[in-house]
Amino acid sequence: MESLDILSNLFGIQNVLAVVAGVLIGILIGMLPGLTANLGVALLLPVTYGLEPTSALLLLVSVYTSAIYGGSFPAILINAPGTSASAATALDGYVLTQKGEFNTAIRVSTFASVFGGIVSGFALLFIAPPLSLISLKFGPAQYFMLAIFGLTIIGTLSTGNFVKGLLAGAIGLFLSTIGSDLDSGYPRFTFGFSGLLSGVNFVPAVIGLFSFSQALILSEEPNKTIQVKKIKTDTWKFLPKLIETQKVFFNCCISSIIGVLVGILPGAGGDIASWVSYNEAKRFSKNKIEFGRGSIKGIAASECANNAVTGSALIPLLTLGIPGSTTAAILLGALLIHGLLPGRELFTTNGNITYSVIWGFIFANLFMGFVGLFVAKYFGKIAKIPNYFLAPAIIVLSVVGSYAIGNNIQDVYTMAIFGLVGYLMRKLNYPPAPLILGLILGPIAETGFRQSQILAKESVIVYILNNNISLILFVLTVVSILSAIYLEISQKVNYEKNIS
Amino acid sequence: MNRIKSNIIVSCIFLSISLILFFYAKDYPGTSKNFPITIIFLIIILSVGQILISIYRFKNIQQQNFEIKIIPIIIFFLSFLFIFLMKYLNFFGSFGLFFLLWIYLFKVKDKKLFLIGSLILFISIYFIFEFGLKVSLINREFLG
Repeated sequence: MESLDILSNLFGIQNVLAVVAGVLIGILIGMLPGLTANLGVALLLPVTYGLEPTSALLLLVSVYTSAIYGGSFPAILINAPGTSASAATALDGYVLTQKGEFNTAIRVSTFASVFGGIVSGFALLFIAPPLSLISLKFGPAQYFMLAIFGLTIIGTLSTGNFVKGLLAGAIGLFLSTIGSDLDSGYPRFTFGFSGLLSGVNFVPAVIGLFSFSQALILSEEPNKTIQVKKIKTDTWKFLPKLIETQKVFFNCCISSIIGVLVGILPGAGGDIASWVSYNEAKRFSKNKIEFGRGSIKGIAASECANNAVTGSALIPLLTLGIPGSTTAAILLGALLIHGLLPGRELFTTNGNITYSVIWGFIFANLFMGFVGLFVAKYFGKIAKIPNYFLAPAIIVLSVVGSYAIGNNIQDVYTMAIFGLVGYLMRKLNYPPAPLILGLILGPIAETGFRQSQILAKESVIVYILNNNISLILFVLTVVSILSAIYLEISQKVNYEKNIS
Repeated sequence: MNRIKSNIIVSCIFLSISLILFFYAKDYPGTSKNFPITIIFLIIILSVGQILISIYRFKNIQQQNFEIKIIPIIIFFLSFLFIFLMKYLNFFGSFGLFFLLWIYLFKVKDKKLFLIGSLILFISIYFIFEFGLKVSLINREFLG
């Protein structure tokens, strides 16, 4: 792929605007406690319909990485992590704020986030293309096993609610079977509604489950506003000091490697990476006692790792179609909407788009740092937006977004119904992410299975497992299930120990 | 409501719906029923598993309570109503009314700021969707 083609594509006016808008929206969403990267990407998904694929994906990945970074602001300034990935940041960040050194905490967090984001961008650039070669060896049997392996991610996405997660995933799989049968065209579970013949539309379901349901949750406490101490900004220093960067540089290197490795693992997201990285930074520190008492190394470890996840979570997504995180699952939907199939083609035929998006992702991380440092001054005002305004705003955006998908009012009703389902799922401790995974991976699993049935001369199971890739995927599936069960049991045991 | 009770009730609902769907799906022609029936069996097994887990294993959860508040449910039905009204009042008319009702429902103190914020939101939506994405929210087709 010609570098000049990619550069000219990336720096087209629409693409630059997409990155700028994505970064601004992402930071804003991350800053507001209660709003997540998932919500941001889900809300903007319909907006991307009218955009070129490159701009669309740039907008979404910019929102993704910036929202994770934006989550560090409330963690540091009010001890309320904007996203779960920033929970470890609050440990040291808030202590620094209490000492009046919030400016230092924000500078270090910004440096570390940008560092982690850029490293993960380069990991995506160098690891994804060779890995995508594997997808060339995929046939129906391998795709079936891949979908099954993808579904076992449910276990890691729903730690603490393993069976509920599996149930949500199975319901997602079931919903994917609604509509005309792929082969015979026979209407399945349509109950006479012609609108269901084309199946359950993925995008309204995502908007409903992640955005509309969040608005319903926010409406439970409409007058809730966050009390933010007045921040003195007259002595605000924007650029990270050399001594600070020197102090955290080694931590950032280690944390970004941890973040990249955790991100590649399907289902393991930014929260796991930031805690693992924080613990490792503490373990290798000569001055362990400073952790939890305002250590800039602690902030750097957590923030660097959670942003290092964002790029590497796209590696299994772009190469094999396995989302590395919940947000990546929504991004998979965005790829499919724009007619882009994960696999080798993304790096050959559609290479101009893919490489532009990867370079744009790196550029977005740099830009995110500049914007973040300037916007931080106004955090107090942004965080004070009350729920009674946020909730109806999200509802209106969800309605108009789901309508924009196909100028179809039925999509809006679908979105609202999934919104209520999402709300009830959250209240009943059913994670919504597995339902979306089931909805996406269901058709891949069914198509692979039915094609294998046709191709198999004897037993379909023998046919599916009679090759190395399927066998490896089968072993990974078993390991994934067993590790999820182990995590579930160990968590329960720890919980019971704490109770006793 | 007690969490364990809610888990059992929800699992029973899943179980009942799955059984109904199973009898519905078993008459589908050829191979079109294989995958859905497999998934329905999976849901049945997991629902039974969830019921057993709720009863026997996680007794400490019994002490946890949860409640579903009425306000979000009202908001859901109101949203549904205003989505329906879009057909007659178009998007801006319908959700303009929704915002006014919201002020009344939640007794918004700073009405002026709320209205200015809403106006900015609606104008942004108009320009982004009408001119940026070419999605008309006020045209005649939309009015139905």
